[in-house]
Amino acid sequence: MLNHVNGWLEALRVGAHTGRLSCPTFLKPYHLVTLALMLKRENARWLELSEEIETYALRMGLWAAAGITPPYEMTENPTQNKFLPVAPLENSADILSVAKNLTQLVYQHNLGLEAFASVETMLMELIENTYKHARVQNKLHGLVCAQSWPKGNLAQIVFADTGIGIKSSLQENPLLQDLLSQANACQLACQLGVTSKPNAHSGYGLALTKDLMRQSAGSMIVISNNEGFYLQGNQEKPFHAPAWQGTLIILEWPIQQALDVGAVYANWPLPEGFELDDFN
Amino acid sequence: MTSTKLVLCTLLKDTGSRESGEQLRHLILENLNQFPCVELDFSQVTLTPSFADEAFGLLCTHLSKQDLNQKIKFQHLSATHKALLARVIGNRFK
Repeated sequence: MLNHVNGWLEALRVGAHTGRLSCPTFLKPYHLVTLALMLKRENARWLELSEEIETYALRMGLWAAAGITPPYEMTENPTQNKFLPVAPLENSADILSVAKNLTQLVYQHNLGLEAFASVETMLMELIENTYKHARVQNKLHGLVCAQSWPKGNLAQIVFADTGIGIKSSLQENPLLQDLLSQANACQLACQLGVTSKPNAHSGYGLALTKDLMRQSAGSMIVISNNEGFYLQGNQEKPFHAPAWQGTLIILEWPIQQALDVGAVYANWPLPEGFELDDFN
Repeated sequence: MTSTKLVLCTLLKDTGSRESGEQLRHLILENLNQFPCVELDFSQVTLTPSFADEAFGLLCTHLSKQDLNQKIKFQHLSATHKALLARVIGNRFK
């Protein structure tokens, strides 16, 4: 997946200058979210796609998310696949409803309520991150898009914004200045306890997501400006990414694999003097 | 009356955001000014680490660990939420 994402971001960069873009014949949520934000950033007024992907992109709300008049109105046409069209994150009061909608897309009923709560917890953290850290100029904090393919046992959820980016955010923490001059900011941000606001925040969101994706043998890509971090199962690596102004997070995992947030917490260090019985 | 009860699922718009966590922290402190003990009912909610940090971890600037144990009672807390609170609260109070 990493090569595809890098290739697509490079194509987007070129397309923003030339006005022409080479699109794959099978679009995923990350294509739609990043294309919509690029079109918005470039103030595009017109978009034409090839016939083979136009209907899907229309159903997924690409034109609406980019603020462009669509070629025609889409009528409801239920499919076996479940998806959330590209949607703006505009109101921080909607955290719970957005997280629940996304969770229902990827949740498999045979996995139980703990699995539902685990996905919901991860998504609420990521949505909150987008509101708190992106610090965009306009009211649009970011875009989210998701699709699950039950027959393929796969889901993809994507968050993207055009805000200040991870490195600029972490640089506000004086304790990280030296580390940031050497380390990959995206990889650093996925470590437990790494935060831009040490007195107010604690750096849980991306660390929790990374641990859950590792647990499910899923994939996670975090890209911000020219830095990237990639996790695939137990393998992880930082990489040099094609430029993305802001932050892009792509999660993809097998939906028949139950996520277990309790197991993640159990692996986090328990500070001395504290026990689970403290809260009986 | 020696205690009061706060039912999270009826009081807060969500239990995922820091904004709601801050709201709960203020409610806890306000109630501790009037009652010796506050009971918190966690039934039907899903807590995020950030919410828990904001609501309970940041109580460390107002309460000692001993105060926390004596004055705040946690009801209907799942094993997952106990594991979360022990770490989030511990990180702030350590």
